[in-house]
Amino acid sequence: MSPRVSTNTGFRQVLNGITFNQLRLVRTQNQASTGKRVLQPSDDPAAMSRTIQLMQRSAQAQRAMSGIVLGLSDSNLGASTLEDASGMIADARVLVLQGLNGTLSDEDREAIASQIELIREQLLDAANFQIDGRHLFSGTATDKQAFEELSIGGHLRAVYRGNHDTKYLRIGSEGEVSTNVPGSRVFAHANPSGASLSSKTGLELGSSAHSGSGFEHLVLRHDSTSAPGLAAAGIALAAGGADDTFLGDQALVVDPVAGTITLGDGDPVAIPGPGSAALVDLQVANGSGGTIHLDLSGWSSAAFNGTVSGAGSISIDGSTFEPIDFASADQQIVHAATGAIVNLDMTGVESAGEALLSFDGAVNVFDALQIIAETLKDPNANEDGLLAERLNRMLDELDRGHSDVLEGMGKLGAQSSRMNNANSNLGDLDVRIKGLVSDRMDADYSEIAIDLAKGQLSLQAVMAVGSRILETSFVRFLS
Amino acid sequence: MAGIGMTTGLRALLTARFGLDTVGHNISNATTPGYSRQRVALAATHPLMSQGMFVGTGVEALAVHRNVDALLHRRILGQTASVGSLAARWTGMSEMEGLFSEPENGLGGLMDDWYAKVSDLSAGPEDDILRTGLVASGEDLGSRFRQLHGQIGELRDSFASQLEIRIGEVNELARAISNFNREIGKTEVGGATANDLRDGRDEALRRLSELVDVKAIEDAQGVMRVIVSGSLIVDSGKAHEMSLFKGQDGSLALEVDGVTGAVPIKGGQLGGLYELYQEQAPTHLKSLDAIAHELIRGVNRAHAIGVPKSGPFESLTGSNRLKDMDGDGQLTDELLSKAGLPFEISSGTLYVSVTADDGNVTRHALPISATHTTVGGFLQQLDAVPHLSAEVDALGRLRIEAEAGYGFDFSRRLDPHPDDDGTFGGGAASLGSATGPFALSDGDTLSIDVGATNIAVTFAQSDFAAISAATASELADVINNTPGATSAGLVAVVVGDALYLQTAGTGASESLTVQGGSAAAALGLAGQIGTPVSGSNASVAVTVSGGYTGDVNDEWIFRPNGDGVIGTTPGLKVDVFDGSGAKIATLDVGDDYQPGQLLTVGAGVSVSFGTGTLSASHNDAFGLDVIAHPDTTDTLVALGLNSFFVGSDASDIGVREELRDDPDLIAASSTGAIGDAGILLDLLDVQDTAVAALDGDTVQGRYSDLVGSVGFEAGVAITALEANQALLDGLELRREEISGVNVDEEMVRMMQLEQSYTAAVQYIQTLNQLQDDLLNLL
Repeated sequence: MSPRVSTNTGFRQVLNGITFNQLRLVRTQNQASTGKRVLQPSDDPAAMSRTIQLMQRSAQAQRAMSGIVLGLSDSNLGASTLEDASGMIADARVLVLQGLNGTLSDEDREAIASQIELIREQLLDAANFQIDGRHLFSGTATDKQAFEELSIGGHLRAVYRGNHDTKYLRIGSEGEVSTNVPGSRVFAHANPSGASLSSKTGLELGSSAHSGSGFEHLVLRHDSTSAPGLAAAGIALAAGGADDTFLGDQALVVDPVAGTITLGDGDPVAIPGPGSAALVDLQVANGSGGTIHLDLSGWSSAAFNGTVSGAGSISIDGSTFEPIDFASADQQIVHAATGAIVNLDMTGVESAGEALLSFDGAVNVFDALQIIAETLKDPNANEDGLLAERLNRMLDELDRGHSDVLEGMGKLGAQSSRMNNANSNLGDLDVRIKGLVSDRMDADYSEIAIDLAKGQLSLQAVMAVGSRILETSFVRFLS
Repeated sequence: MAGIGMTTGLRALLTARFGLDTVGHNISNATTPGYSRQRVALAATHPLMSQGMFVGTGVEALAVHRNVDALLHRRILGQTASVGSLAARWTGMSEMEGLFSEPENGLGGLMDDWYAKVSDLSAGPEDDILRTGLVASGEDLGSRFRQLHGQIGELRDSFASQLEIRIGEVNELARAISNFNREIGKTEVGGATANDLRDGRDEALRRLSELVDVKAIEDAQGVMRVIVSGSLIVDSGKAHEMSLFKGQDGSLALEVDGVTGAVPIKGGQLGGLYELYQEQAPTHLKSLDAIAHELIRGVNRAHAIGVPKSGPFESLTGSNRLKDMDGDGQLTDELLSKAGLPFEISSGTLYVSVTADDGNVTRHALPISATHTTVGGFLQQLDAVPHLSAEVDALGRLRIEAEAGYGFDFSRRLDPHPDDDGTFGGGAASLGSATGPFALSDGDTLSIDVGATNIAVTFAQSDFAAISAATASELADVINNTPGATSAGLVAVVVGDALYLQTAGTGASESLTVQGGSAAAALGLAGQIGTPVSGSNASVAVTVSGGYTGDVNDEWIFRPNGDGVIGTTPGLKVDVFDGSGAKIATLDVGDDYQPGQLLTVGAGVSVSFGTGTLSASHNDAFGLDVIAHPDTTDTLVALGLNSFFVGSDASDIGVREELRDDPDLIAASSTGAIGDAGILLDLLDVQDTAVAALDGDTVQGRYSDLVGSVGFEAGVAITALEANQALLDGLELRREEISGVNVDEEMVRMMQLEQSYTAAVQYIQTLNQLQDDLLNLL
């Protein structure tokens, strides 16, 4: 059969041509108005699938960046608070050095003590810094205030109530950063190296290990005096020994020839002449300042060389006393409230009094400042020559605390700069990913313009040609 | 002679008229779909004998033919069916694609947003606004899943409705064809072809093949039989109805009247719709459900072992219901792993931590077997944990409650004071045995003096699962239940695999002596016979801190290497052993150690010891549970305890209602401290975790695969459609060539016939004239 053309064929071709080109134009118009080359997955399934994966990566990067913003604010806040704290500690140090000056009066020392107490309060506020009820230095127990101030046995101490954990922030593929330092690390970091005792009573530390933190105040009390054989010499205990402060077995030498009475290793005290009012209550002290009060009014002027014993008790919490075992070189005393366990050598105890026991390397900055202020205010400390010893010891603790604060600042600073680096890396990554997505998905406007022109041209050509073909019909020529 | 001529002339006239009629018919039907142009077949009539010669008698019309190519028609039918099927597939897939509306507002974007909220919360887990934001984002995600699930379901149902409509059309066309068969049969009895009827029948057949793949066979009598997948739907004068049968499980089957069983549907729109209904839509729905299922499982697995901002739970109810699978009205006899829960349970251990208001933590290990633990057994295990009770409520949900003053959770937190029994330098007199199991025999005895009282313990075979391999806990049970033991102040506890005999009281005056007994040697206590063990006034305070960073669940045992005083005795050390007995650390607690100082053990765990006395000869030791995976069984996920998402697939995924009411219940912390975001960091890992049930894909990966394959199928469909449409167009063009009317051609033909007619008229006139002339002669 020779090829022939039916009328329908012509019409159909023109129609097809018009439809096809119009569809093309509509599609190009869609691309132009949305700016997207791929409008739905079926337009380019491979590109779409890859795009979804890329968008997920981009979302991850954005997540990490927004997390960094939150983490940086905490980190920077922590670092600036620590900077303030460091300044405060430096100020306190200057004051302590002033306080060490031996020429100060009691009032001067009192004034310095007040200033130090003020600094301590400010420092405590800094350590307990909170924002929206969230405490910065409590580790991850952010609902708890970092340091609680307790009064135990009449002495203020600051106890850490947070935990030791670090908060971590995930920064995408760059890993994890920490955004805080626990208060226990910067303000109360313990590096225990034993204990130290500061006392004029002859009390020493025992050989067994002690456990505790901060400080403890020990009080030694005289309970009773026993002086057998003294009555034979006509010497009585003034007030029955109630005012005595010596402890332990001491040698009492009454020398009628030299006219002195000596207690233990103390200086000989001249016996007042008969009829003197002081004869009724003569105070003789030993080398540690422990005293015995003697009533010499009935003295037979005989010599006496014997032992007098002062029984005493010791308390660590200021309320419960237990008897001192003068034979023990390792008597254990336990503080029920703080849990401190100390072992003391009682063999050299000579006098009642108080002792300051500090756990070296385990005194936090607040307690150190508290002890400094109390010591400056205590007139006995100055008189007993213990001021310098205690202040210097606490100064060591303060310096240790200061370097902890600086270390904390450094750590936070390092984490901040890591976060900043990660932030810019992630930002770059995100831009790159968005570029890749755009390559695949976005329309190229110059391509669209060309497509539009081509499409229009095509459509017009189809219509022009078609109309010519359809117009030409034999019917027209038959008249 | 004249007669022949007239007849010839008349024939010519009539034939020309006949031809013109046909031309007119063609022109009128030039645009009629399915019309094939008709031609009159002319032939010279039989000649007559006249005067010894054959004289022609004119022209006659033999028949009216249609110009058709039957072979081409058959090919067109087949191609129409392909195009119909692809068109239906394309429409359906592009509708499905539209449901996903990626990449702008789709499910992928919402999942990313939820993870973004998790990440934000991890920077500030205490923040209430961020917590509320996380719940809201989870709800959006859940609702979009449900919406998508519903929409795909609706789309699938619409395919079924369209199928029904199309089947109605098929039946109509089948009836029409069978009518045509009858008409054609009647009309062609005389021998002439019923051209227009045949055209009509062919057109009906073409429309039918758009709907379903058909085979048409015409027999000698002109009856067209139509077969669909081997079953007759049109048979001589009858049409067999097609109907759609919907099964219980939602599957569809095609049935033809008079044929038993289902007829496979192939080709045409019916075929396309059927495949969409039966294959594509359910497959994608299943994929979506699997994605939701694994998302719920992964998220809940991480969330269940966290601790909420409000602290350990006083009361917790699961969100999934236990079902009475065997229908006997009892729930407690069902196996926990087969009680109708939406997630699988495997064998392993579940760790529960109970925290007292004073901060003391005890941890309890509950072994769970996928093949043996029943619901009742699990309830008993929970009830056996001190200060906890458990029950199943009226709706079938598990509910755990703690006594006043206690809370519970399933976290990884380390026990800050693990030496609960005081077996490590504690105040009570404590003597530890060697590590078990122990080879005892029936009737073995142990004689113990507590202070002045003697307790005689006898071990009977019935007290043990296997007395030759007696465990420390079995021994402890026997001793604690020996009459007089408790009142005398004897306590037996277990640490690791060893048995410890202790006095109930503490202090230096407490004393315990093993006097003898046949079991003493097997227990490694022979060397201690007759030697009193005293208590002490101070007990060693053990404090554990940090967070376990290891990968495996383990129990570490801490043992001193000698006898001595912590912080004082030179060379005193504490060795740490892991569960396999390997030494993992040695801690120096000799004279260089300051009691209270933190020592690092490893894997994030630190420990400190207070002052006190340790004794290796009394086997002082304590155990510390270090847990990386508090729930290796997925029981928490299956029961929906402490979950974030509820539901089991895309049709019912949502956020747990309690979280909506109280966002503090979001369990972000892995250690119990509210600033810890360990669980949130674990949640972020869920998106990158390969899941076995998804063939190693991640949840996000599987979702992008799903969208990709929907798009891909749509893309393939449109490409195939366009290609096949082009082929069909080509065939149709071919048909037009053969059967189409060319108006110009008809015009020429018309002129030709007009001339013939005019000439015939002239001829008749001439003959008439001749006749008249002849008559004039007469």
